[in-house]
Amino acid sequence: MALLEDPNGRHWGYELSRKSGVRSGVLYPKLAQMLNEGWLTDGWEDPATIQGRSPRRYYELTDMGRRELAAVLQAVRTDARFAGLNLRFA
Amino acid sequence: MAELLGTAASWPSLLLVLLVFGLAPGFCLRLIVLAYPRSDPRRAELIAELYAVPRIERPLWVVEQLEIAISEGLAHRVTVVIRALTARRRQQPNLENLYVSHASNVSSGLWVTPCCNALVQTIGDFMSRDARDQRCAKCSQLYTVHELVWSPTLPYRKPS
Repeated sequence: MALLEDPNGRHWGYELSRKSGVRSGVLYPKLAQMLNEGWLTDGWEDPATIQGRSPRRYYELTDMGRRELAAVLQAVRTDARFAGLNLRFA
Repeated sequence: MAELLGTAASWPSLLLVLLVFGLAPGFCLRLIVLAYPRSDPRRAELIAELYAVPRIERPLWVVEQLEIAISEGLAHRVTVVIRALTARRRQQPNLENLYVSHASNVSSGLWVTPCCNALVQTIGDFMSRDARDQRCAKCSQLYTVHELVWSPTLPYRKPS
């Protein structure tokens, strides 16, 4: 859901962890899995645009990722077990 | 209260705080990421991400990375080592049907065929004879002496 908050934007690991409330120990393997499955692409910040720190790795949703995540969200929305969830980005 | 404040503001406390929230997270994280293979982008990613994490959260965030580095990075390294060992074992020439004339010949290595890793002859034999084409004992492929593979690590095995 944190990814779908800005489906066309760049996402950083710590930012995603904070927004989604998922611990980084769980988040990074999940991101790696989504990369392998083609839901995400990754890249590195341009060093020319930053100062005083290392370039960070960012993640972007692919078209496939947007479709798949939207389908997951749709399934969650229609599933009675998740009725109590606040689906802000749905 | 004044005593408590005095303790909190003492030099050792200040140094401890600087260590735990200042130096230690970066240093520990650099050690932790060594668990990942050199080519893994997670190494650079985690080091860069550390400076996006608020200082107060850094020690715990680094400990979380230790947990995942052990379960992912070390597991990956162990898998790679096991695969390499298995592959090396598979590449060992087949020692069955070997004819080794003398152990001293084997100490300097063996010539094997590239197709089946079948022994052609010991280097001692090879040096003492005229160079000539060799036929693989298993698949009968013909090789010139220049196409044979040098296998220096074969152990000596007595012919049965």
